[in-house]
Formats: sequence, C-alpha cells, structure tokens
Amino acid sequence: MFSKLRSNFRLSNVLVRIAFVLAYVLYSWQNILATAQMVQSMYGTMLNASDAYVLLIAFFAALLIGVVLVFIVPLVANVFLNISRFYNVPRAEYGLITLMFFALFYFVCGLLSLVNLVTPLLLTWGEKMFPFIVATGCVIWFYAVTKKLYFNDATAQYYFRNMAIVYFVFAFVFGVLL
Amino acid sequence: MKKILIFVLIVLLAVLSVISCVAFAEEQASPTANAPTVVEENAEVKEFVKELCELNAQGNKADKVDYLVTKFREALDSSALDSEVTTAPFIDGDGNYCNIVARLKKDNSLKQIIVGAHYDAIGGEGAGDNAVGVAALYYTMKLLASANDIPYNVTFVAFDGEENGLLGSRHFVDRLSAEQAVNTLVMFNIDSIALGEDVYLMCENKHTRLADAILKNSKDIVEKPYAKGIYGSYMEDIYGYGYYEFVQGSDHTPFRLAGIPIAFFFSGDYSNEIWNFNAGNVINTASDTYENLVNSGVAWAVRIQNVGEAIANTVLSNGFAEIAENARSQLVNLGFWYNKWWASLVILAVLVVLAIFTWLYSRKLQKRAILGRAEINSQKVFDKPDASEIFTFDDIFTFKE
Repeated sequence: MFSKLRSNFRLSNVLVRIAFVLAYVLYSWQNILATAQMVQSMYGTMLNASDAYVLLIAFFAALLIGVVLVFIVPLVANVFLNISRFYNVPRAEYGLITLMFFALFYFVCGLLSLVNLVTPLLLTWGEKMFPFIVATGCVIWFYAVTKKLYFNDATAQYYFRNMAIVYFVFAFVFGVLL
Repeated sequence: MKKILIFVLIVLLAVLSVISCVAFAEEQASPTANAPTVVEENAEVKEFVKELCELNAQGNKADKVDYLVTKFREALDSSALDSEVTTAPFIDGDGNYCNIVARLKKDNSLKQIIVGAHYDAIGGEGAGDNAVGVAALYYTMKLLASANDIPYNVTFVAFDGEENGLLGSRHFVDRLSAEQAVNTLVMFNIDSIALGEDVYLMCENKHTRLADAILKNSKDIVEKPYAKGIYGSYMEDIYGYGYYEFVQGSDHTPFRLAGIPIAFFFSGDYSNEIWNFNAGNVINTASDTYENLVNSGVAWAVRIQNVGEAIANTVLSNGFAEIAENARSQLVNLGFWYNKWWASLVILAVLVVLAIFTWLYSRKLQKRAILGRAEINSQKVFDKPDASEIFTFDDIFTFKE
C-alpha cells in the first residue's frame, strides 16, 4: 500500500490533506466548542441556537479552520525554505511532509485532550504540556526524516540551525509566554 | 480450547446481561431529579420575588436596599439570638455599590458561615438572575432565625455589583482580615436557581463531605456532575484559576480563591427549552421578567424553598460542625497544581536543557560539515511527483499486490 502511495503523489497529497483536516478537528473541537458556548451564552438572543446546533456550528468551524490551514501550512513551509535559501529541496514534497507531521501532531494532541472528558485534573497542565511534548517529538522526527532525504553533511548544519530557531521561538511563545 | 473460550464468553455475556438488568432496574426505581415534588408553595417568597422584580424594574437602588434591609430585619427580629442588619456601601470605579449584611450571632467568636446571593440585575427585572436567589437567601434567613440554636455565627450577604464583575463579593472578601478569612468555615452562594432544568450543587470538582452533607439534607437538588466541564462551560483557563474557571461566574469565586470552602447552588444549564418563548437565553436580558418567570413552567417557588431548606437543614444538622471545621482539608489546591504557570516553568526548564543539547548537536554537525561528505543529496520520495498524473479514486480502492 505504501509503495502505491509513494508512486502516486497526487493520491498521497489528497489523503494527507484529508487526514490533516480530520486531525485538526479532533485537536480543536473542545476549544472551538467552548468558544461557541461562550458566544452563545453572551449573545444567546442573537444566535438563538440550541445546544445541538452549537455543537454543529463548532464542528463546522473546526472543519473550516482545518481546510484553511491545509493551504497555509505548505505556504509557510515554502517561506521557511525560501528564507533559509534551501533551493534544492522539492517544495511540493516538503510541504506534504510538513502537513503529514502537523497531522500527526494534531492527531496525538487530539487523542490526549480526550482525557479532559474523563477528568479535568490535566486541563491546565495538559493544555500546556501535551502540545509541547508532542510538538517536540514531531519536530525531531520531522527533522530526522527531511534531513535524511534532502540534506548532506555540508547543508545539514544550516538546516538544523534554522529548524532549531523556529522551534525554540514557537515553543517559547506558545509554551511559556502564552 | 475453543470450547473453553466459547464457554467463558457465554458466561461473561450472561454476567454482563444480569449486571445491566440490575443497573437498569435500579435506575428505574430511583427517583429522578426532575420528578415533580409536592410541596406547598410559600406565598411569601413569591411575593418577595415579585416586589424585588418591581424594584429592579424601577431601577432605584436606594429603594431596593431599603426594601431588603427592612425584610432582613423582619426575618431576624423573630429570632431568640442576637442579630443585626447593616449596609456596606463602597465605590468601585465610577459606580456606587452597596452590600447588605445581616448577622445572626451565636457568640462573640469569629467563626462564621456565610450565605450569599447577589441582588443587582442588568436588563429586565432580574427575576431569574437573581431575585429568586435573594428570595432563597431570605427564606434561609427565616429558617435559621427560627432555630433555637445555631452551630456558628451566620452572616447573610446580599451582594451588589455581581454583574459588573463580582464587585460586591470581591469587596467583601478583600475586607476580611486574615483571621476572619480563616474562621469563615463555609460560604453558600445562591445564583440563578430558576433558569435551568435542574438545581445543581457545586462544591469542589470531586466528592467532599460538605457536598455529601448538603445533598443528604436536601431534596430535588442534584450534584453537578464531576468533570463535566467541556460542554456548557469554558474550556480555556483564561483567568488562570485552573479548572475552577468552570464556575468563576458568581459570587462564591472570590471566597473560594481566598481558600474558603464554598457550596454553590445554581441551575447550570440555561437551556432554551425552559423558557417557552422566542428569547433564547434570557439571562441578563430584558426577557428576564417576573411575568416570564411565572409563565416559564418552572416550579421556582419550590426551588427557593428547597435551596433554603437545604442550607438551613445542613447548618442545623448533627455533625455539620465537624464537617465545616474540616472542609478546608478537602479543598483542591488551586494555588499549586492548578496554576498553569508551573507548567510554563517546566516547559522553560525543558527548553533550556534542549538548548544545551541543540548546541552540542550543532557543534557535531559543524564538525561533520568540515570532515564529512558534501555530495549533493536531494532525494525524492515520490517516483512521479508531476502534475500530469491524474488522481482517481481507483487508486485508493484497487490494489493489485
């Protein structure tokens, strides 16, 4: 099956994008639902929606954001390659692999956030720690995979440096400051 | 072996069937929280709510304060115990506010129980939010005033400024000395008990003896389901209170954050179905009127009595003193485990460690760049990543291995 996927870029592209959107919905539905609830409680007379509709609205909102992100993530990966001046990397492939790892990140975080349905005890710590741990794992794996594919001994150090800068900036902003 | 497995499976299925049947039978036998309760409705509390709604509609705060002070004095005058009613005006920002404090004194010690409800309202007449709650406060006051003895001093507070950000309760808690705060054993808060399909009790988000005692002494009040905060509440801990954010929207929160055990009576789910008119959520809207409350079909006068009796019966019950004295020991430590800044600090520490490893690995890569191979390495994952290949769903479903 994987050999079939490897030989068909467009099929892989479609499948990865679908997986990305679904993983994003799994990851974000709780927060989007809470936001929708908050809007409903504040502007209840305006929305006048029942709980079931709020759930539906939240689901479609998550879906919509996922679809938007599916186009933004490869663009951001492209910008990263341009700024880093890595011109010999195949852009489409790199964007697809980036999407794949984001999908993995969202999927694992989404699964972990289901713990909140059982107990609120990990709500505050989990909200911070789960994405950080999963993101760190995904970034290391992503780096290892892409380095092996596209970089040699001479270029790997620059790739690693730029990846590390991006990772530390994001980890510090989202994990520590926010 | 197969036979043994089949036998074990049959036995398991049989046991599961029996268990589910028993559970179903128990569920059927147990009275539901929504079961109609035959209680003679107290005309006085109904009249109280009506008059308070009229005063809310008029919008003159001084009249409202006068009315509540008079009613509270009436309620406490009949008591054999010492009592007093005072007002505590304060200024916050550009607004003038006034808490109304009534005390039923057992002795001169600082130990006290607080019962509170906010009397301010925005929009409409504030019937459900929170004239009904103040009526329950008044009813509790009457019940405790008629008791021969009370275990502790009881302070009743009608808070102002709740709708403006819990101003009255924050002001009240801020003015408590450390000694008074430590000696405040329990705070009961009553808010919006008529606006949802059930009256819920919320203490900690876990079983506590205080919650058990209140539920044991109450009827038609249900415990807020634990850990059910996802749907119908805020997931984001935007105020950094840990999961206590779930119930941050009423006057018990400043008390709880000051380490005082709380018991919160509320109707939780402000569902649209309760209000049988096209107003959606009526809380803090012009539709929160006495007329709509009466037409809502909710047995709100019964709820007032139920909440009042739950508090009074609990406070007067045997063993309450011991439970109240130890209620603090069952509080969740909001200050440490539920503060997300600790998680941030842990992440920061991990990042520092990672930064050291990153630097070491970077040095290794630099060395390899000098000593290693520098061949062009641009592999491709896909054999044909060109646009000419047409995607079809056959690619997914037909594999010829």
